[in-house]
Amino acid sequence: MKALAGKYSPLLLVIAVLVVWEAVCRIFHIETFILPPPSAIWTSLVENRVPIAEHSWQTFWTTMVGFAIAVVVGVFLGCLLGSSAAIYRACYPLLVGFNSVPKAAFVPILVVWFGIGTIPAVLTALIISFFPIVVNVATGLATLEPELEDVLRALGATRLEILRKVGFPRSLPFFFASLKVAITLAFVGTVISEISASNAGIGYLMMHASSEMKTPLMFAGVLVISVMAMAMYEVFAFIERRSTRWAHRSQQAT
Amino acid sequence: MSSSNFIDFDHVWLKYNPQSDFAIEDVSVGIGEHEFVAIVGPSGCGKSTFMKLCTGLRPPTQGTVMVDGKQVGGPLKITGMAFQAPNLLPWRSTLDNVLLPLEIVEPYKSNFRTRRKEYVDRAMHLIETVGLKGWEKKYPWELSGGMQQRASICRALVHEPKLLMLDEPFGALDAFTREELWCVLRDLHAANPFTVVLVTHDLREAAFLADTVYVMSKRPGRILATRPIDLPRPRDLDVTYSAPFAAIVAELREYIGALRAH
Repeated sequence: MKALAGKYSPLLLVIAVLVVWEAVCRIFHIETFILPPPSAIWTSLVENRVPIAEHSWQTFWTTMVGFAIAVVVGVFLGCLLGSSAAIYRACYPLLVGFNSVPKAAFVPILVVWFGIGTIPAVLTALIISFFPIVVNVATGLATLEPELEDVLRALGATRLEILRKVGFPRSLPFFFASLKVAITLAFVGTVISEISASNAGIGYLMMHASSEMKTPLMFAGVLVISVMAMAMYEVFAFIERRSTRWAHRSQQAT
Repeated sequence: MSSSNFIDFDHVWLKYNPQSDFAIEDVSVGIGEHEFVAIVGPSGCGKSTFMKLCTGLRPPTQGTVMVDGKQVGGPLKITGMAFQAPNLLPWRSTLDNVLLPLEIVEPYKSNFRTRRKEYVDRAMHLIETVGLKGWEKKYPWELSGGMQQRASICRALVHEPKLLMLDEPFGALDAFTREELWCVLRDLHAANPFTVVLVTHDLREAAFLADTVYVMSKRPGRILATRPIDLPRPRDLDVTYSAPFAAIVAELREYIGALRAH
């Protein structure tokens, strides 16, 4: 019984929160346009399922395109930084500086360059999500044990061979850990851009709903976006567990 | 120095960067083919530097290092190395860890796929020799420290290197495992001779295994004494309790003691 409660405790908590939320809204007669109860959000979600599905799909594929480019760019830069201490020292301050700029500030610039629509959203998802990938891949490669490197170099291994046999497998857990962070960030990037410069996507839908005071619809948008981000997070967490089992041995040690 | 030596250090000096002091100073050593050499000395005396020079991982600042008749210019491809830390790859099974050098060193690399079976047999033979049979499918974290070190020695030997470099390989092991592995190493060396440079601070280990023991000074490292060990081979562990053995260890101890007194 206790074990069962432990297993389902996250679900029970969610249900409890929803019940309290619904109860508070009803007891205190809170206006729906200020804080809609879960039931109203659900009704809105069902009523508007077609536009929500269309806009979700737009947000989803925009995010995935941005994320995919971020993975390519991130792995490339990560390899570059991780394989040479000199490049690492040269590029790192620039990357940190770039990463500390709020990405929302880039959206107006991107709009000037590419106009309103999908391209700024893809690019915002890209620039917000590639940084953790770069840092993690670079760290995974740069923290190679010097003695292990000596063993391989004494065998006559080339830099590329050392990367292939040791560097890449060794940085895989770092890489997957960064993907989990990056995919959620990519959704943030897409929605930021859609809110200010788009006529499609969940961000646009919420902006539109806001202007018409359709608060339940806005909450439905938040719900959909968080479900998508959580699902993608779980996908990458699953891939991580499957492909780098050796790195998670402490949890399964007997 | 005769030119028939397998490894020849001719007045070798090395500093790691221009500002620092020399790590090794005026070292001249001749090591014969199939000779088992041990280098002992206080910590930080440049023992590991000596290894880096032998294997070509570092070029000397002055002097020349000759190995197998050729001046060392870059990393040699005839070496096997093992360190105090086993450094096994956690995503590879013991067998795959042992096979790693064959995926990198020619001539094995180019026909690794076609002759894999043969190489697996060879690795398994080594694994059996060091007493790891039955553990070859296990991953490093499933092995004890001593077992990991056995696997590490297999990896250092699988490509039949002409030169084996050991940097305190038994330093982190308990006394019983250490002595057991001394015998494993002794038997491997006797069965299929190769040249060994063993860096250690265990004087008994040096005296038991080596043909010649070199004592190095504190930094900057110089060779203070060369002590041939004339105990007959094959040596049994019992020899370590004999009077001549004790005398050799005491003598080596004196050199080190004199160093530490300064």
